[in-house]
Amino acid sequence: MRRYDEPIEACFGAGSYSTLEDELPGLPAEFRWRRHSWQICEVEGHWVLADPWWEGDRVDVAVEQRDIWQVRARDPWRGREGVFQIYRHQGSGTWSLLAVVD
Amino acid sequence: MEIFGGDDPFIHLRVASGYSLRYGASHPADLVRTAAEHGMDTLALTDRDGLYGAVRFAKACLREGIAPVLGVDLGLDPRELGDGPALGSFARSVLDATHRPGGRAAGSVVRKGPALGGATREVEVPRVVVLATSGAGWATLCRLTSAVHRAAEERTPDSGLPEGQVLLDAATARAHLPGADVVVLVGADSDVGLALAAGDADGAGRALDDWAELVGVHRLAVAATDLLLPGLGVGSGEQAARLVTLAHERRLEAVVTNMVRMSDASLGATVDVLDAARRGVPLARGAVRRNEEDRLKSGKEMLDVLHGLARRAGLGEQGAERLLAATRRLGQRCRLDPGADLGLGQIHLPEFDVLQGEGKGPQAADAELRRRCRAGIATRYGAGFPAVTERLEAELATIAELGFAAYFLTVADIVDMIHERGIRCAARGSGAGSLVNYLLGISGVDPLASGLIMERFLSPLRRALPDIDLDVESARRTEVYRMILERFGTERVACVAMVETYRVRHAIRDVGAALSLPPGEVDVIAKAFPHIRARDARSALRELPELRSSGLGADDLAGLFALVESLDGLPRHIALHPCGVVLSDARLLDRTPVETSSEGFPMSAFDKDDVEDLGFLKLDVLGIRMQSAMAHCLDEIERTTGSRVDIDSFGTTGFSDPATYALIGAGRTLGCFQIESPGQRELVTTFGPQEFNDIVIDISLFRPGPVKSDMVRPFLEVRQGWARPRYPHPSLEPVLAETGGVVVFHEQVIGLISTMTGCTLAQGDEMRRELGSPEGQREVELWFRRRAEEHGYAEDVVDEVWRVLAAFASFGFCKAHAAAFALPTYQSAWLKTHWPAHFLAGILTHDPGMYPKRLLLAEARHCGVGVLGLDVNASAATYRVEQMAAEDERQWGIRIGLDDVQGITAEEVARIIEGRPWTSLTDFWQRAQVTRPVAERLVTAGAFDRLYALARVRTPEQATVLPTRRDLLLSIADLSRADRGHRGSRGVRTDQLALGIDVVATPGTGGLGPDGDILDEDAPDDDGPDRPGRRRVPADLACSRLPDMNMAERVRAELEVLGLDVSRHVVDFYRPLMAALGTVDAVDLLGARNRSEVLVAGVKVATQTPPIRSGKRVIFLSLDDGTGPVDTTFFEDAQGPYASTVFNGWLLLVRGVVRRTGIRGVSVRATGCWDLAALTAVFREQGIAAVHRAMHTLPEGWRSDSYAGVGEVVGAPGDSGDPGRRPGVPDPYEHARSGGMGQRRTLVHASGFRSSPYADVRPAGPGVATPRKLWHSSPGSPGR
Repeated sequence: MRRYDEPIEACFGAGSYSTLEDELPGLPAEFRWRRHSWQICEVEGHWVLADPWWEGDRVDVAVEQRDIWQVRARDPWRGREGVFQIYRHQGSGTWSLLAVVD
Repeated sequence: MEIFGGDDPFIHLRVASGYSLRYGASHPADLVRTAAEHGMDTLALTDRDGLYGAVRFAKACLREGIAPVLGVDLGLDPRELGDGPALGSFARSVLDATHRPGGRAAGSVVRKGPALGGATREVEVPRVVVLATSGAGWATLCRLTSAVHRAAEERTPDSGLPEGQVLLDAATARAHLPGADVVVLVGADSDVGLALAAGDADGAGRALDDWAELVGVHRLAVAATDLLLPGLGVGSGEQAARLVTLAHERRLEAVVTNMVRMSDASLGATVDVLDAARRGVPLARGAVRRNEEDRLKSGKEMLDVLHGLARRAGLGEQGAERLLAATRRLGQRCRLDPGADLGLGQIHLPEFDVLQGEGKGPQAADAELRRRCRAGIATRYGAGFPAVTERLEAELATIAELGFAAYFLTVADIVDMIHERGIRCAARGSGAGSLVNYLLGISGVDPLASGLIMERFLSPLRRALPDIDLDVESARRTEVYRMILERFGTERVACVAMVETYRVRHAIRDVGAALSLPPGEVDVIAKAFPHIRARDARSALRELPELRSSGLGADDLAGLFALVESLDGLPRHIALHPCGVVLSDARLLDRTPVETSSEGFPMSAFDKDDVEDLGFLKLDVLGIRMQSAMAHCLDEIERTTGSRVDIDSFGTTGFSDPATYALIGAGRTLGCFQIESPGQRELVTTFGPQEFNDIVIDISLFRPGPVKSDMVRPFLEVRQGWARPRYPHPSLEPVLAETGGVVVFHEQVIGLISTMTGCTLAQGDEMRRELGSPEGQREVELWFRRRAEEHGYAEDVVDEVWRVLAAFASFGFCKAHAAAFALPTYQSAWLKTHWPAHFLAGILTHDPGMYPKRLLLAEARHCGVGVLGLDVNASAATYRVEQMAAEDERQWGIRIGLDDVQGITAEEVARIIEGRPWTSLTDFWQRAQVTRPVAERLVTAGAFDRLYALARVRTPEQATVLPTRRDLLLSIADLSRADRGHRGSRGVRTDQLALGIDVVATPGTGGLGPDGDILDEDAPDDDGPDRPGRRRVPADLACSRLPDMNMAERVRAELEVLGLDVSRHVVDFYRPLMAALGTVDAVDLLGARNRSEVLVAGVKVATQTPPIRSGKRVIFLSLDDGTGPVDTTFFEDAQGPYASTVFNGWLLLVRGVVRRTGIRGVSVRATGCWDLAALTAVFREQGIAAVHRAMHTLPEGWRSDSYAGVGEVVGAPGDSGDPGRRPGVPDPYEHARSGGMGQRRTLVHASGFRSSPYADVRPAGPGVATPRKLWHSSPGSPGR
């Protein structure tokens, strides 16, 4: 598993994956990472973790959480598949790629 | 009960509140409120290891219309987890950790409370929850909880388990669970869950089968929890799914819980801090990875979780609904009724036959009560006067109507037992108003003579049990508890525990530790706060001047203090010191779990308010040191004179000793009960009580708050004859005459209401209570006006009286309370007047009052009592009275006791007393077997002075042969070394010790006695009883001819060892400076001109910051200068830069304006305060002009025009503009501007916290840096 922790762009919208959206609200249909698009085929796991609020210069008591999904996604243009962990900061709503699992 | 509940169908079955110590972050009431807001109709409380929060929870549920479910969350004994691959290895790791070499592995020690540094560590073990399904099930929970606590207490150290940790073992489970009305909830963190988390599905199945066999499938449920955590561990979705699957395989229902620890996500950080505190490990990256999902989620949020779980477990379309329905079914099955099932709001008194009565039924109890009261009439009154019998009948009728006869008989039994043992006992509180109490001997105050009414204590309109508190001798309090336990048995008696909650200092410490802040700094910050509640931390930072300038209010610390505040009110520690007893019928243990205190008393899990709600008879048995002091005094009088003084029969002569009132009126009340504080002394000197009722009024008038100017001044004006009493209406004169027309007592409020509306006194008391709330006031006003008008009162009269009622009803004082207090007040004042030596010996032994002992010693001297120093051959353990020598004009002296020697143990004291007479230091060292530090302390405190004639002035020849205190100390060093096998290097005589100095003892002027002792020719003692004319000074020591300790060193040593300056008053060392400054002594202040400016100086004996409106704090500072107490007052505008000095210094100089408060009263309104010891250093180095300059320099950061008002801190320390200096670090060589008191002493900590320039200064004389705290400070005072 390789860690990246880089921002991605989450793309929602109608498409053949609308059923996934219904089941898991908030999960995008596809995401863009390093200028490649990945379409999400399957969700392998969803969990929530809190950021370590005690680190940093200020003690900030409002704890930030992130929703993390482990998904299998496909790059339709090059026919590759991979398993990724992407996450969304609950507070700011920004999306990032946490790691590539395979 | 009525269930209001909304439409949210989810029921949380696993919820931990703050009563799961250092685990849950919410109060039960907050959890209930959150559930109500979600619209839920049922909620469970399942705290860890105890049921502490159950009553509060049930009451909150009643208020919100939610059905309560109760359970207990218990850890499993790791020895019984079996040998399966997962659980077996887990168990082994737990047990190994307990046995790690060195004995102290992390997690191996569990204490019921925080040890040094707050280390309360537990081993994490698998857990199960036991829920009650009925009232009988609740009784099972109580007994089960008691049983596991008992097992933990009885566990031997070699069991291999962490000491004291509560664990459920199979035997206990088998004894309580099968067949009981309970359901066992096996969840994610159970043995089943842990096995699954480790991948051992077979092991999990086996464990689940074991549970099914133990309790049966009907009493078992599997609880899955998905906290959206990754992996397979506890709280992960994957583990939850597998649990559901396993349950269904075994044909058990699966329910879903959320393992709730907090009411909402905002407490996430608080939970992390609690985890860190519980585990004893600070927060670090990777150490604790969790999220905020374990909160009281709404049904909708839980439905999302259920959907995810159902999908993972392959439950199909209706999977989520199926899980929801199962959860709801189980919750409904477990609903309890707070009244019927828990006993809330009902009354459970001990059975009458247990009270040694004959016959059964309530009439028998009433008859017995009547019989005992009639017997009491003869004792108390001699004959049955009509007023007495009439009142008695009225009270007995009320008691019969309420069915409370057993209550009074129980309390009377207990009081009789206490008196039989010769222990002093007095009831306090409104109970003094009841004639029945007086006749039964429970109370010592005659209610008829003092004009007290029963209705304030016992009313037919109030169904709750009355509240009687007993004051007993503090030293014998545990004896009383044991007596009660023996008499009524452990089936019917338990003690009440006290839950300590987080206050600001502990909260700061735990937060600081969790964040890995440097402990020393955390300690300084913690001590900068007064003992306030944690939730007031930030407002204290804003409002208290000494904190405003500390730098702690900075923005970047705001988050830290928000965390500190969030810990407010959370239980931190169950204090197992009994503070009261509860008595009940034989079903006590079905209604409350018990644990054992360290002294072996069974303690109920519920606190004093909770046990009342459960209908138990609660009796507060308070240890009052004044009672012990008076008992000691009476014993000493008997021992020294042979006669026994009876201070409990003053009532028969009407409390009428004029000398006692003279003492009180002169304000010489240091040491007396209730009336020794500066404020009280001012009041009694102005007021001049002449009779018992005056003392009652005095105690009632002494109230904080805005009422003072409206009550005290008008009363005093009438009393002193400057104004005529004014009554709103002539019919009200009887009610208000005793207080000159001013409303002071609750009883007067009741009287006013009753007179003007014609209602009964009982109704009047109900109305008085209603006046405490705004809605209540509105209702009472309507009723009152109408009725008063009907009774013919004019409108303006009604208006005036209503104004008075609305303003004073909540500020008045219960006269019965005051009367109960007035009794020991009078007794203590009488004893001080007639037997000052014996009385002060009692006070010094038991230390009941607010002032440090050294002040009381000075007071003894003022009262003409001698002070006899510590003496190994004469001192007892406590302070005792001895006759002075015949030539001395003082008759009695107080001999200082050995118990006050720092660090001495009771065994050492006993040996010293038993081994007398001691003939020399060597003899003492060999036979008394005290530790070296204690021996040294005895020497420095003067315990050997008489033996070695150390106090006497010596001739030069004597000086060469008689040892000094210093020589004695050196000898101890030698003796100690000799014990360890070293020999002196010179091969000297074995009975003479070599000091390494070439000295040989030569005979002195008296010649050598037959035993080699040196005879001292002129030897009359100046202290102690008759001594022979010639004294032998033992010659076992050689003299070094080194100079002895000077007086300053001696006094400092005395202060360190005893907390007393015996040889000289500490202030004497500062007299030169005081003379140069022209300070005024306490004894001369009375002659000072009113409103003149003066300087006073002395040792701090008390600081008080009585509760006031926020922002306007007043500080009362009392000093002792050897001639008496000086009372000074710092109003808000004068505190600014001086508050730190006031709180942290010990020897102080105060400038202020004289204020006459009465004929014999004077105080000083302060305008400045300085550390006297620091100024003395300046005086010695630079002279008086430098001192004046220093006094005119404000501490760094205060502008002279800014502190009168809001103190603004100007700039940051260290920005002196000098580029070469690092900011914030003081330059030790910089003799700054003005007087050397500026920059040099500002201490800036890395956190930005700044210490006062007037703290941390080592003085030149004895004083300040004493390890003991030698002054009183009220909780509002910060510092030590």
